[in-house]
Amino acid sequence: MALNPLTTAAFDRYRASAELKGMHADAPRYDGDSDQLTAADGLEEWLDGVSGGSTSKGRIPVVSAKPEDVRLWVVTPENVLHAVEICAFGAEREAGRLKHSNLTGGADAFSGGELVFIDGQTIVVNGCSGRYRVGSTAEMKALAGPFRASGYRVWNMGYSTDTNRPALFGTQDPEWVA
Amino acid sequence: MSDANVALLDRVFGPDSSGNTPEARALSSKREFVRGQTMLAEASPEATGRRLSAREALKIFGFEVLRSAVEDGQVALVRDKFEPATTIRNRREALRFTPERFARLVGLKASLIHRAETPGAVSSIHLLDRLSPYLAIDERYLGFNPGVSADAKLGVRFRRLAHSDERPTGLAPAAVGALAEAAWVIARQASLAEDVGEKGSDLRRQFAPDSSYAFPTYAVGYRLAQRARRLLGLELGEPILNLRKLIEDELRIPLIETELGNILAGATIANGDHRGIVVNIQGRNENVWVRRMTLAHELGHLLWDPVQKLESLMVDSYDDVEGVPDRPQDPVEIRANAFAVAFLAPPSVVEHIIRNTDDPWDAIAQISERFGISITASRAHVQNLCQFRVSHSGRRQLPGPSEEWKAREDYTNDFFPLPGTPISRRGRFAWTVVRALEERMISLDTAATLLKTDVSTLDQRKSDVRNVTAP
Repeated sequence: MALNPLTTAAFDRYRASAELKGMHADAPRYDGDSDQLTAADGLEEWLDGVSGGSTSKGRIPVVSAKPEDVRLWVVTPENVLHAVEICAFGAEREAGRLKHSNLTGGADAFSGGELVFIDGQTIVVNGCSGRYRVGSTAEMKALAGPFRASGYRVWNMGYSTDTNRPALFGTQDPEWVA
Repeated sequence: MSDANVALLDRVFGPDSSGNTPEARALSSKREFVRGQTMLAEASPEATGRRLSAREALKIFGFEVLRSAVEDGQVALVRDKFEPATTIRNRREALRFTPERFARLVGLKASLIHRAETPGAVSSIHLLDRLSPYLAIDERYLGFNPGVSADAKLGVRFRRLAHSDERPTGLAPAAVGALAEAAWVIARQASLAEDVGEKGSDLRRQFAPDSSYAFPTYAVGYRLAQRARRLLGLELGEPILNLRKLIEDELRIPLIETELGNILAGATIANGDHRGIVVNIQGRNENVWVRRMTLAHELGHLLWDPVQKLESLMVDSYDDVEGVPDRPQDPVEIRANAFAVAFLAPPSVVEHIIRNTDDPWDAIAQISERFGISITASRAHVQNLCQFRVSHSGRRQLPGPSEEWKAREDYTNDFFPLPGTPISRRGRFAWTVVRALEERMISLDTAATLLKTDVSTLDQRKSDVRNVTAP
């Protein structure tokens, strides 16, 4: 794994005050949903970005409700992992697409969600995972911050207190993470 | 049913629900869903949004949406970020409210209205629930199904009325808001009534529109009044002691009492497929005898006017209802006025009273007291029937509505147990809400929202509401 000082430091701070979770009991299970995705299948480690100093907000990015290139991410005790959701590995399994538990092999994780790259250094991130649920506005902010600190320009989809769920892509404007 | 289907129904409605169909499962489900502006999820203790019973969530969103909400943790209710902002803004503009004026009307800050109309910005669902009725928006479908959430014809009619030379011109913003809310109550009441299996009135179906406004138009109104009384089984000289009850409970026509200022007397409104009567409780209608005339006038429109005459929204000023001598009147209004007075006070009985009374003013007082119509209406009735002018009453003491008359027509409003519930939502609407709640068609949260109260108050007082409003 590559050396990622920004990512490591930022997410270690998050891990220090977060709780490691097992898969949520309410999440529907599918055959093969805990099969471990490998690097050869498309599993990637989150790498430090290069726009760490950029504070230029620019225009609010437009992300559709179902972006084609959406990636799943999880924060594990050691890494931040991500992979394209719609991929051959997922298609071969019952769910027909990747599940967050494929990134962990079914192991515990701190949290999971989705992200979309707007360009190489700008992402829009949400906390939507049935298995490793983000559970509050504060937790969503606590996650968006480390992504920003890892060297990317970050937009946070936020959290709905009305439904007690992270906001989905395409339903509202994301918030700039300063 | 296959095991897979059973498992799916168990997942969506909970294993303790029963039945083989989503509808049956939803009715027996203890599960609640919660909606925000843009999303729906299974309810959790921390969620602050609108809680929906499984049955109402199924009715509004359908099974596949509920399935996604459970299986994926949440589901988007909007196609894109432009809803519900676009619907709210379009509707506010159709009703010709500025954001500031509308904010005052609903008791919110203008910045919150701007936010609700900004695509991509998120507002609390409770705020959207609060402003939707005053835009005649069905909040259940807001954002999810824009075409269903707001009746386009009604919006166009509001806009045209505000711009045209039709009387009464220049509807005050508060009156527009009240009429819009009344339209919302009419549609929601009809929908809830359908939920609890209430059938339309067989009596109502016996009334077919009548397109005759032939001269003398008043005679057509008298004829229709006689026919209406016959269809309703009223004896010749029998007074209609509770007109409100007759309209709401026997004819099953939604009747909304609300505050429309001092110019308007009443209206008929169609929202979607549902039409109802709106009556002002301010101005001259504060006198229950005058209000009964207004109600009968609007009933005349609703029962007998062909649809093309009714429009989505038809408003009547006090001058329309009572008639202004020097102004040529629309035959539609002449007929409704004649219907109203003859419906409440049948001409043959009134003539009999006049013939057997020496002093016309004694006859007028008798007519008012017996049939519950205003002194002004009785006097005009006597003059029209006898073709003579009744001189001024001078220093004579004339009667007003007795406590019995007031109690019969106002009972529900005066004794309604939830002080925060607007007048417009008392009466049969409240009764229907409580029935829907008790039959698990809607959640306690929905019922409380509809009655503008909080869940604990409603939970404690729902049987009182039912008792006061029962037909």
